[in-house]
Formats: sequence, structure tokens, C-alpha cells
Amino acid sequence: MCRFITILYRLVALKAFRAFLVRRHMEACPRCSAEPSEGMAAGGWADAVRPPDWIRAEACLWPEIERRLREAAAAGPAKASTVPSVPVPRRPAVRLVPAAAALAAVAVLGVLAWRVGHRLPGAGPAAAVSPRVEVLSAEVEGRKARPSIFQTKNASYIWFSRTPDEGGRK
Amino acid sequence: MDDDAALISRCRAGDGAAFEALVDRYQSSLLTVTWSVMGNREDARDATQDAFLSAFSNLAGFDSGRSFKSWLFAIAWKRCLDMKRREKTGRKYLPEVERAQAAADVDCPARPERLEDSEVFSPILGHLGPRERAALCLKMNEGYTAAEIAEVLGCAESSARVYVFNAVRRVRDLWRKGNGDV
Repeated sequence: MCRFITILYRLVALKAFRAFLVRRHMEACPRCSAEPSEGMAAGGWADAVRPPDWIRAEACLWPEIERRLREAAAAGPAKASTVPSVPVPRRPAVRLVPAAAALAAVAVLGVLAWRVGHRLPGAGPAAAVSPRVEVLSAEVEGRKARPSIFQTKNASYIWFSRTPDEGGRK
Repeated sequence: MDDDAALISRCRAGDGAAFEALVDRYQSSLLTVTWSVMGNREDARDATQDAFLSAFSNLAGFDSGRSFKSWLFAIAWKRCLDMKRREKTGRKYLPEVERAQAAADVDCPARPERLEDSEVFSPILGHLGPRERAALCLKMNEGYTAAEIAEVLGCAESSARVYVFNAVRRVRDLWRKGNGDV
């Protein structure tokens, strides 16, 4: 394990932190994430974790297993079985944690996109709230005038003209 | 020698000799793992037998695409956890019964509360948690990778690395402290 990580590991004696630290470092450091085979057999401590001799010498379980299988077969399915109902582990079809994380990320991105879309000019419902002006009638010097709308990028002008060439006022 | 897939097919067809061959092939490895978790011979044998019997009962549903050995180890691991849970519950609620039984049974010494106090279990291994012991045993005795250990223990691969790392570190520290005399 890299020296800095080792120091940090020793400084903070919190189980959860240590597990997080080791996990993250193992994912990021190619040297430390390599199979830790070196040094495991050296020093003599590896012998302390070897199985005892009786496991190799007298491990013969078949007679007992066979007896229990025969009892189970004789008892039939109706009676209590000698076969223990140990839940058999099954490989999950979908890894739940990454799937949940992906869903959460999609939800967050969706909310962000929706909020950004609301803030853009002319986008979304904000565009429908733009001010609207309706000219019902117009007069210039007591005479009926005709309104004309002239729009630029940044402003809108309404011209009122009595005759087509008289010009108008804003 | 037939490989696992061939033996499993024969088992499914009702060939008892094929299952005996599977038991012979994996009983030592499985006993090693259950021993490392349970800490004593009797419980290790019980857990191993139960694991084989469960595997036999569920062979029809076994996914041929995965490793039979890892599947067997995973069953044994769950069985060990179940036995440990019951042992803890029994010890919590029936201490007087257990003490009376231990006192009456001279051939079976009273099981110590903590594995590190056991006279028959490795004193160094007794200081590790069951997951760390199992991970270390799979790593050192079976040569399992972190991914394979994770499959057996039912955890993420990164968690398996953490278990192995912590186990190796702790065992090495204990060994250095007392040179095995813990």
C-alpha cells in the first residue's frame, strides 16, 4: 500500500473511513490493486493461517452425506427433510447499486435540464408570458390613424399614420 | 477425470457416484473454508455436510455458466453465517442451558466466547472477523482472486479487496507482535 495511504490509514482509526480509503485507493492505484501475492508466504505468518492437518487427513464426509440423502429420500417430501434449507445464492440479473446510481444520475440530469430550459430566454413557459399589446384604435390629431408594427431584435415600435406617408409616433 | 460440468450432468441424471466424486473433490477445500469461519472441527464438518446436501438439492437450478466450486463455497459461507447467528442467539438466551451442558459433557470442552480464546483454533485467525477469515482463507488456500472471493461472500469486488487487505495486515501485525504467541 502506498506510503501516504498507509499513514492516512493509521492516523484515522475509523472503520468506515478505512474501508472507504482502501476501496478507493485499490480502484485508483494499479500497483496496490495488483494481486497481493508477494510477501504473503514470507515472514512465517502465512503458516499460522494454513488449515490444520486433520482437514486433509480425515476429511471423509461422503458416508454421512449419503446416509442423510437416503433418510431424506425415504422420508419423502411430506416429512421434514434432513436436507437443510440453506438459501442458495443466485447471481442477480441486474447489479442493484450501479443501476440505482444510474437512475439517480438520470433523474438529477433531467431536473437540471428542466431548470436550465426554464431560464433560457424565449424557452419554455417563460416565452408565453411575454408582454402583449393590442391596439384597439388610434388617432393622430383627431383623425383616425393606422398602426403599423416595426420590430427589431431588441425593441418593437408601433407607428401610427394618418396617411401612408405621414410617419408615425412611437 | 470428469470435469465438474460432466459430473453435474450425471448427478442430475441420478448418478450417485457422480455426486460422491464431487464430494471427494471439494470436501477438503470446503472444510478449510468452513473451519476458518466456524473455528472448530464439529461445526466445520456440519456446515460442510449441509452445504453439500443443499447443493445436491438445488443442482437442477444450478447455472452451468458459473463455477460450481464458487457456488458451493457461497452456499457453505451462508450456512456458516446462519450457524453463527443461531449460536449467538442461543448463547444470548440460553446461557444457563449451555453451561449445564458443557459441564456435563466432559468429552466436549465448553466453547469459548471468543475465537481468539479458543485452544484449538489458530489464535491469530481468531482475531479476525468471519468475512476477513473467509476472504483470507480463499485467497491463500484456494488462490482466489478478489472477484472470485466477492462471488463467494456475496459482496462487491472492492469490498473483497478490503477484507483481504485488512486480514493480511492484521495477521502480519499480530505475527510480528508475538511471533504467533498471541
